[in-house]
Amino acid sequence: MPTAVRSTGATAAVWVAGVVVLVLSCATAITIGPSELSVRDVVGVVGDRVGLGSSELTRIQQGIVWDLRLPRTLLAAVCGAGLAVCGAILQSLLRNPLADPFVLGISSGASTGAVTVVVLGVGAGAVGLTAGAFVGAVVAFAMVLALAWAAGGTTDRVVLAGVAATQLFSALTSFIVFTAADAEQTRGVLFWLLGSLSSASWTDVALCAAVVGLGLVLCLLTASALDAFAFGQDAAGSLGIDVGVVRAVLLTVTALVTAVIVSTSGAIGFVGLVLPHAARALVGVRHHRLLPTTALAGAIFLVWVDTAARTVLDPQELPVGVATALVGVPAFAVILLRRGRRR
Amino acid sequence: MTLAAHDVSWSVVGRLVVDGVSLHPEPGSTVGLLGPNGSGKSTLLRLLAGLRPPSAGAVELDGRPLTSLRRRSVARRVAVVEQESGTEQDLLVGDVVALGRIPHHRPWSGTTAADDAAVRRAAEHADVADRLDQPYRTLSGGERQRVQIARALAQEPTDLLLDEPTNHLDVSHQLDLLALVRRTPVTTVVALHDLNLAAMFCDQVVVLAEGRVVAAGPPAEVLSPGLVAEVYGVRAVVETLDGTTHVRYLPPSS
Repeated sequence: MPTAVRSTGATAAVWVAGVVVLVLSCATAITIGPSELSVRDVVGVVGDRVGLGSSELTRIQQGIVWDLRLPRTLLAAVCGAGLAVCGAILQSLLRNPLADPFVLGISSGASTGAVTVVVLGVGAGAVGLTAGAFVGAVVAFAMVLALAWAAGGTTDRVVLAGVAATQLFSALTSFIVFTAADAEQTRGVLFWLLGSLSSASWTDVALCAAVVGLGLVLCLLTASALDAFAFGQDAAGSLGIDVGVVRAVLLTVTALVTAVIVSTSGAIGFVGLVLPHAARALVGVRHHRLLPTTALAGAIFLVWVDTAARTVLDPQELPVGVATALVGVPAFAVILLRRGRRR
Repeated sequence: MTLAAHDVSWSVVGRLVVDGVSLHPEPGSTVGLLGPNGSGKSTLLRLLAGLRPPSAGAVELDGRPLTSLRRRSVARRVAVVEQESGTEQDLLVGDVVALGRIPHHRPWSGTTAADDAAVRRAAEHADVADRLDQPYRTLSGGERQRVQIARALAQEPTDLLLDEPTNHLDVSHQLDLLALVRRTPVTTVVALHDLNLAAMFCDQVVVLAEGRVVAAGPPAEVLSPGLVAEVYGVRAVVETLDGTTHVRYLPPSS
């Protein structure tokens, strides 16, 4: 792979460039939209709020920056990073290039949890859509693990159990929506299922950032163990990896990170499937280089795709999950074709 | 005193796959593990590597049972090369050899000069030093096995276990690979199909049938027409040419 950079110095350069691009992307993305703003205005508002300097914008404009676009942009960055890293880990762990964060049935479990709360009104008031989605995701994941473990516990059993759970919970969601929901509710649920960052709050940002950050640190600690899985479980075991423990920890971490992301912003597809492949094309497959690169790539990607999703059809909004696929598939095709030609 | 098996057994769903096998390789020697398909060679190697816990008996490293040692400690002493090593990932040859250093450092600690030196030494020994920047997936079967041996040597083991490493290789690569194994200065246990290769490259052979040891010793003493008939059900002539034992198979008498 002649395009991949492999040396530590070059990888560090990629990371520095990635952080710079991410910060610039966030600042620029916030200025885009129906209100005239410049990057300088954005910096001014942020400076004002954290106690450095002051902003000359009107209260409404300040509100647009601080209460609407900033949390939304940051949530996009955090969710993009989290989904991409989870995808990278599951692809390596399950030795399946098609694995993504939803392979363990988490998104469909979350959707069932959400519609149970929204449509059927179970526990409404006490728990919101977010909590319902989280519970649904965890239940689905627990079912996948139990089924996979009972069936022998090998990697392909995990994938098969995930497929089964995905089908089951998707069917349950459809069943509930068709039998109980009115048109308004159906549209709301459908929009949420396709992924949306439009209701981003600072609480969401803080929660996701904490969980994604913690997950990323844990995953980085297992980076060399993940490398060892390249030739399968026995090979990893013979390299001194405690296969059972590493697999259990990583499956649980990725499941919880995904569950938190899905419950705040719906099932945003494609990021976790494609961005890891793009990052591999950039820095190779060793995980201590791959995981931070994947996180940066996912964050930058989702910031821009969400910006496109909320502005292209203005004043209508496109579900971000739809936009990720519309933007991502052509990008993925380019990567596939370039890789194919090198063979 | 290195790796040794004491009366180990392993069973799966009530069937004994390995049945009371003991193995004490001389330090530095090459031991060939022979036997037909399903005789328990691969399983015995997994037990020796500590990848499966024996259901009875014990595999010991310097007199301590593997089950009482940490996996990482075992991996610094015992390296494994499998029949065929494939990966979906676009690893470079250098990446693959460097996997052998994983047991030697803590998670998320950078590679040290000692790591680089060990990788380079191992690659040179296995004659893949000029391939380190090539994609692993573009290599031929024989080259891949040499890279796997380099990876195993980068672990700096005292014991090397190989499971039919010459399967899928053509004759010249089979000979090259076993010559490489032979000149590697560690205790080696290698499962082999080919009795002539075993006779050529092994100091000792251990013959398994249905999970049990049926013969053990130097190849010239062990390989006999009677043994080949008993274990493989094949008529054969055994000759000695230039000091090496040769097994010539005869067509089935109908």
